[in-house]
Amino acid sequence: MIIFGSIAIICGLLLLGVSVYVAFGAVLMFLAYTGGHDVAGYLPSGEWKMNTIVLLAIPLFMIAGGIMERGRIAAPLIALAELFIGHIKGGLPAASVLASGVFGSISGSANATLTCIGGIMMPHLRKANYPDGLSAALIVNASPLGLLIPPSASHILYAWVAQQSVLKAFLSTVIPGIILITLLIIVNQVCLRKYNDVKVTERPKDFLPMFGRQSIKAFPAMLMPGIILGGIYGGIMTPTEAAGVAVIYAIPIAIYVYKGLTWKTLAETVQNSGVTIGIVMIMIFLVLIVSRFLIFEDIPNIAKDMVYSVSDNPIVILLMVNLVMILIGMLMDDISGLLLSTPLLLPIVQGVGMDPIHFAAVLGVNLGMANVTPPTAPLLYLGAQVTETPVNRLLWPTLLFIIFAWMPTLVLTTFVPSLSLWLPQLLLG
Amino acid sequence: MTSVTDKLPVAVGRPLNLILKVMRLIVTVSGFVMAGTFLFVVLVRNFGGNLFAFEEWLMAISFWGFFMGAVLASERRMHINADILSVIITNPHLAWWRQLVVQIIEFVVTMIISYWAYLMVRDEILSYPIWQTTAALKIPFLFWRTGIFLSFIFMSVFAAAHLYVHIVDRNAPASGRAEVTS
Repeated sequence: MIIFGSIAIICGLLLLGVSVYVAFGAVLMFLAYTGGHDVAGYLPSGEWKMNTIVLLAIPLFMIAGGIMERGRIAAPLIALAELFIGHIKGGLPAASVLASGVFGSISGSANATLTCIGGIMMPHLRKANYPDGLSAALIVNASPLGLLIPPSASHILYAWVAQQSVLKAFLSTVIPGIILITLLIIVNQVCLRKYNDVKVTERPKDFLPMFGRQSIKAFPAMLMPGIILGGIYGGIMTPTEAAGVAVIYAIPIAIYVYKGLTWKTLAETVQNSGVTIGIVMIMIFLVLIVSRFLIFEDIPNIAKDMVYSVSDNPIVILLMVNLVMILIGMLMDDISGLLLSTPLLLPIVQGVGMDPIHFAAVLGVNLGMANVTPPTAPLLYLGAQVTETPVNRLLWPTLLFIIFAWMPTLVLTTFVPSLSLWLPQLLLG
Repeated sequence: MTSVTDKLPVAVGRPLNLILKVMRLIVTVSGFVMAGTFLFVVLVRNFGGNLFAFEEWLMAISFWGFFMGAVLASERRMHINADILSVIITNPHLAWWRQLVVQIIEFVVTMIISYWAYLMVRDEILSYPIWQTTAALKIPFLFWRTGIFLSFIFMSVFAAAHLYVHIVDRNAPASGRAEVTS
């Protein structure tokens, strides 16, 4: 009754277009009504759970992402990628994917990646006669790469909820991220076969000197993930401290090196990031309360029993878990999805012997895909605005990318554990 | 960017604008404080020092920042939602009614959460002098709980403001969402 009621409320309200935090508030009202809980204890329980320094990594990464977004740091990264593969057919879109991977890693924000890379690359792609819908969809589908290429704020959140190593969670999605990059490029190349009027630039004759110049320009931006990962891996900083240092590092880089910000616009940028932080944190707050009460009502075990009553075959169970995560992802944003999925699904997958770090990778790929899967596909709608392409022209190519790039990545990540466990075991033991 | 407060009667809109200014300041300052503190912590630790119980005051400030940010998001209608129906429904009349239902639900639910927040603050005040405080610096929980309470109150106010504007201005776009920015 509680499971189905909660699902019905969430689905109904989200499909109607109600904000995610309000939908969770409505679920809490339902839980209060059916469970007979004391509503006075609701909000303090969320505040207790949220009162942890680990969680500050998320807003800090968002501020760093906001500064990087406004700081014009995407341009040298794109120029570098273009230099390598811009001279072949499909090279320019492939450069967008690579730049999204690198920029996503630096900013940790899919929105920032989409805004920056999409804003710069789309006019280039149009000028070179690449088809609008396909190019825009490719940029949209590449923008969640930041969730897979470390450092990623959502992995910090997962590690906190699941009580796992942050570094291992970071490393678990590196190989799935590389697979996704490769598949996105391949699918795009295949789709481009029928377009014969694409203009291709010539490979520069002075390649090496240009490569040197572009590398120097891109170096300060590319140093950022190095500082974060090096700081955490070297034991100098915790993930939250690294996120704080990333913000402070990003400020002079954006103002003095790339000159995209001034001290005046910096305050505005931090304020805008603060609004985004507010959006995410209020959802985290309410989802934490909902998940606490779902655990209180023993819902994870009930869900586990329900899944096992269908089949005890690990393959079937993992397929069902993935299906549930896809459905969760289709309805809500990645952070809420992560907070809701982890306590509910982790006991189920551990029951079939899945390592929690392996699950971090599966969850990462699922949530990345969720960001571009309608109806709650914030990146799809944002992508339509950024690239000035109608949403309906993005839908078909996005479906192709989901079926032929995201889905195979998800299947491989789910059923080949070594793809996500090999690197953490190699580097961290 | 036009704010919802500009469409409200002056007597209501002007004080709300003033409150929004204060909230923007809190959000901006808390963002800088969060980042600066961690740099300072790393530096101090590397010089063998220790920023005693910094987590306690930092979390208190951060809570205010988070929740005031959520209010600003309500004012700008930036909270995340699945806006699929606004794409599917092309009939303006139907779209207007759908948006009305959404805004009524948002207002009612936010009001109820505000009531829960009121209960939280009330219980805290009534427990005086045995207030819950942080372990080291003895910061009363009431400090940030007041922030949470105020944020839900103002989110309700802005939900009501949007509802009012939606009803009064029937020519407004069906989905009055602002652009999602990061």
